[in-house]
Amino acid sequence: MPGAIEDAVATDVVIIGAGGAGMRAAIAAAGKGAKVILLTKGQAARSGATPMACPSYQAVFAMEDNRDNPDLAFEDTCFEGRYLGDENLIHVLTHEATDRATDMLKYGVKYRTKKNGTFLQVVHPGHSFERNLVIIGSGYAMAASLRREVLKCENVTLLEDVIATRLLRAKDRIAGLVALDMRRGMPIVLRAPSIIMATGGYPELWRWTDTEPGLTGEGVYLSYLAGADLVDLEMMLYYPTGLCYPTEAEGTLVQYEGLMTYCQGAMLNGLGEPFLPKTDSLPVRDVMMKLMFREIEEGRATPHGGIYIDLTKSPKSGEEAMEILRRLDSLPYNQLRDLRIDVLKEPIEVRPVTHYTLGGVRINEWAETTVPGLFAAGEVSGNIHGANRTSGNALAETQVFGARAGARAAEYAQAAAGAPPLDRAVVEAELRRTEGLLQEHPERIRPIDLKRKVKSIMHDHVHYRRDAEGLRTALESLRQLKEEVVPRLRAVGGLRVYNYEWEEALEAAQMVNLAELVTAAALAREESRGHHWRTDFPHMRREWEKHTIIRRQNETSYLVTDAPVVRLRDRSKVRRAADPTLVNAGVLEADVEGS
Amino acid sequence: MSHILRGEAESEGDEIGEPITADVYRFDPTRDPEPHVQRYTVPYRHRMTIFTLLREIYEHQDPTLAFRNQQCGRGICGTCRYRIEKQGRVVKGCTIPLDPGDRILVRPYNEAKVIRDLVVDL
Repeated sequence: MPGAIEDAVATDVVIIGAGGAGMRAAIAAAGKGAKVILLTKGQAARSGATPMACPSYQAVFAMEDNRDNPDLAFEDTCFEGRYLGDENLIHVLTHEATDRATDMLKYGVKYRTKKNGTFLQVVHPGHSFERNLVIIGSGYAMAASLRREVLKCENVTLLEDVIATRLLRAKDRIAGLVALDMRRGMPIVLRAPSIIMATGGYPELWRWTDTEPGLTGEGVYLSYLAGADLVDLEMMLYYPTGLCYPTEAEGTLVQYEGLMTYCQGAMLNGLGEPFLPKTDSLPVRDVMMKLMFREIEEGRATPHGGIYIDLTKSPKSGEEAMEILRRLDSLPYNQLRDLRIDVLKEPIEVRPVTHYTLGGVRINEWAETTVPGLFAAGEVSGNIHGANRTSGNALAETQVFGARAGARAAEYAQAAAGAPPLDRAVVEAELRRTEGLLQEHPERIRPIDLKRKVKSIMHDHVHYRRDAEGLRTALESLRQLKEEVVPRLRAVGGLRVYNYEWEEALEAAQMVNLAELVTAAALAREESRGHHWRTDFPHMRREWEKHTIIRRQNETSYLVTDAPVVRLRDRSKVRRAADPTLVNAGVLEADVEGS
Repeated sequence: MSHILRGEAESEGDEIGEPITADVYRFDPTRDPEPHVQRYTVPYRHRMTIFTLLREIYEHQDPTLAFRNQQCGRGICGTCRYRIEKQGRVVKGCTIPLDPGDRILVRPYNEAKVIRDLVVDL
């Protein structure tokens, strides 16, 4: 595309992704005086994961119980992450979440309060005390407030409908990126010494998901191509309760924590029997999804292959339950109403769905990746939570690490004094690649069909239960797709302005590659831990208490290796015991040395 | 949710009623002198909504139709604000249920800010 390089725009910091982390990073970088370009492939506060998030933000304000404290939140998060999260990152998360929640108050975010004016805090599985704030208006309202704050920053330029297609680097550091401006149907080139990846994760690689369809993971893959280490890619979190019927609402998340803990609804199998073990508190997500899938697999599913949540069995009256549901924002009322479903009068059918990407780009406590000048914040990053995540830590993560990434990226840009020169050959090759997706092909395969194929492979072989044979089959199928199908991938031609197939083609091409890396990581981890469930290695193994790492070698090969988990405490001595009831039920490991 | 609709093999059990006649606003400001309306006849599927109707057109009839796919699909995010005329009434929202045999007109929320077709710079 003539002119693209000559017209390259230079700035201090480019942020890719305008969800909770990206917008918070923009505010922080602008606050340090950096010139910022914030781009999103959708629209800020109307696309991506944050606007669809539940209202839960985990922060130790200890307003319900003054025994709560950040060190306890730290221990909860380490334990529920099955000791796979880097403890320096968890320490930052649990100790800064309250300050960042207070920042959001200044941006206009509102939390539910009680009559005495203190914040309402609710207990969700895995919290020792009531710890989640309830954001009024859920993730959507949070994102809208952040967007208003971003627009107040004079040195932030927001570019919407712009999808990053390739990061550019000099020998030793990041240099810029190529993107496609959907509104003009033209590529753009940006130069910057600092780039922050804040694109979210990749739940869209699977068929059953509750997330927005843009979560195709290109931030992870672009970072990899630029040389950044990826970590624990095999860890995909399953949220236990996405609707599985009616099919039109498939994947819509209903908050089991609110429905069961506060509305006292029942979870029943298809035979109408309760099946959860009797424990003091509701199981966390990795345990819950195993319990539910076991019922489904052993022939006790509902008519549409799920599990019932039944509010009609609640001792609460319909009015009481509805009042609680509204206060906790646990349900998508509009959609359920339009689908003519009344949760107070009939049980709903749910099953676990991909929800949050635990793995991703490896970062340190300043959100720096292994590539100088490249930062990552939010779900795109990979080594914070470990093998499972407790409720409320995702939104907290966006704010804590978004703010850190923005501040550090601004400092880095100031010290670097400009971006290194661009490699013209790389830019031109990338422009040819994106243009090529519009060229005619006699046997064109549509992006949507390639996405279907990837989702089908991941669903069949890299789903919640995995084994070496299935994972090898998946690798083979993905390689076959790369050789036989990807070369035929084309968007509908003759159309440049907002050609959604063009964007989907860019997504689909990298989804195939990313799926391969995820599968390779799943094959490498020869144990079961949290959301990674290997039937051929059914136990959690102490020697596997380490990260899987994937690192690019060259055009065609990557290295699969491992790295130790960062510890702040001696885990051979300080370690919480698993609930024996869950251990006896076979859904949580006792975690014994050498097992 | 994945917005990709199910394949044909998986859609058995869908209640097929009278097809929906959808007149959809089309406009590429960089090429067209004037907006125009294009008519699609779309098979009715069980509990169809405005959004699944548009997805049906995009997936099976016309990949050039532009509307916002990156949205929640459940009536939260507001991206779906189209002007929809159904039986003489103006309604809005992607989760609006449709009935078999409906005849509807779908226009963008703000015609002055159209990027293409139903995609608007909100």
